[in-house]
Amino acid sequence: MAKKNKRALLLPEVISLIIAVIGISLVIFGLRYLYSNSYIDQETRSAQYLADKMQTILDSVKDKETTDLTIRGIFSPENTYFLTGWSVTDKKRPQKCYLNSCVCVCKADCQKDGFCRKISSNIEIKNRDYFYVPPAALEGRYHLEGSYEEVIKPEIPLPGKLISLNLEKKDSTITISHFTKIPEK
Amino acid sequence: MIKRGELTSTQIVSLIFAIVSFSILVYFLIVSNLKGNTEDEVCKLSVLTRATSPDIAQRLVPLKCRTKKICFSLGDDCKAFLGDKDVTNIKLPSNPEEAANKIEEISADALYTCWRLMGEGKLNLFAGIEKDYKNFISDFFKIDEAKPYCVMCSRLAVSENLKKHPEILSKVNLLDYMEKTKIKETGKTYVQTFTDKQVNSFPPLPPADFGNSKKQTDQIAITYMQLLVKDRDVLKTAYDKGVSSGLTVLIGGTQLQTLNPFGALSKGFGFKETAIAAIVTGGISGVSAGYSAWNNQIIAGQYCGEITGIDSEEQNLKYGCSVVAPLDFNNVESNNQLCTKIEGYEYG
Repeated sequence: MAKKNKRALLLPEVISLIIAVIGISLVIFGLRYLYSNSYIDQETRSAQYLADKMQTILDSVKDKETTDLTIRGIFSPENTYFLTGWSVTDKKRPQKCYLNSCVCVCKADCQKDGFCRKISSNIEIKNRDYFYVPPAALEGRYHLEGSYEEVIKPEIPLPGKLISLNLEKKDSTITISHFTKIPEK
Repeated sequence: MIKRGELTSTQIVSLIFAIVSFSILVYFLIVSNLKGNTEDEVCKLSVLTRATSPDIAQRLVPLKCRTKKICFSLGDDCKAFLGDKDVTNIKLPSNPEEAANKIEEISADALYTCWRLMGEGKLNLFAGIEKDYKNFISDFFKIDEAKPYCVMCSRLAVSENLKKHPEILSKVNLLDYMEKTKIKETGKTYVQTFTDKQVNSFPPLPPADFGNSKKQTDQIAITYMQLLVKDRDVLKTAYDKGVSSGLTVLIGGTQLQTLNPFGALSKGFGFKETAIAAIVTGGISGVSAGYSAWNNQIIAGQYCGEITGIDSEEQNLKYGCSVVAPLDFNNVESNNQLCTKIEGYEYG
């Protein structure tokens, strides 16, 4: 006669266990499905893709070469993505760049949410932008309507549309320039 | 003796078999089926999901439409797609006639596929993206506060080697191809399909000179654009004015020359809630030397009229214009005038 196993699993317990496992799996699958269908996933993957693409393009530019490039920005409701980069000599570069020059596509903080790719040359980012100076701030100048002052920023915004860039490589330094049009009055 | 309810080895094995069989069935029904879906089907599904979602929820439903990258070449790669992944390389035959025909076929198909996937202009896709659509259309569709949204369905480029073969590119005649070639699905020509069978052929094109025509590009983007208006009368007035004033409609600075299917009877045509053909000018400026099909004048599918969406009535955004057109990818300014934002994604 077989010895009775007091610790054996009973049918209702097994069924409950199975239902619990299936339930948890469904919840995990559902959450994963929701995430993969969200803008967040699309944004993140687009940013990664653009970072990879920029790495390939920048590494292919030859010395003394100048070229125009059209890229597509990142479609996101907040519109906060930007393109930037650091040379290996720049001490302010994020740790993500390790001991390399790098090009990054970031949302807010490159160290936290950026996608950085190492590049073989030094890099300089020039976003020629304009900011509006209202008349009150123009002391000593006789402007009635205010004016636009030029400012060069080391970050190029990446809104969800096409962006025109100019690439120039000189003495192992690649310069990415972007020009923002002065807003029409 | 076995306690009542205790599992026997047979029961355990049966249970394991049942679970494994169920898992395999689920896998084949769901996972493999999803993988089997083409990108187009996934895109179409996301378009329908977006269009049937309440406006407030549209922001949460991304359009899962990937921009296809097609490279026309003679065996080499397209410089325009440097760094891009999942590029479809179309190696053209050496015979210029056949090569040109291949370019026409793929280009026309890209236009039609984009139009079809986006619901032929009749689905409300962007009402919930931003809420500041007010007084959308002003005179002649020249919209100062316009926020037209776009989906870039595909990018078509020519390789460096192909650019050196004008005998191929000069033979490309997309307009002619679309007039004469039937789509298998519809049994109608591309032109008839785009125009609800109202148009069989294009009338002689008016001369177009909108500047920038000397600038060359090696890449075009098949782009779907939609803008919404709250009031049918606004659309009607703008459209009628456009038709009666030289068949010209301006959308965000890009000029659409609307073909009138009834020729001189423009008064009788008026506003039609149906598909109409249009020629986009100014948005594109010629694809490399001799790429005459896209030089200055290009065919576009356009629909102006009532659009379908769950909350459209609530927001009064029941009417709109949708256009699918090949645009010069490198003409950033012109593209951005037509598209405030571009949805979809590029990664593979």
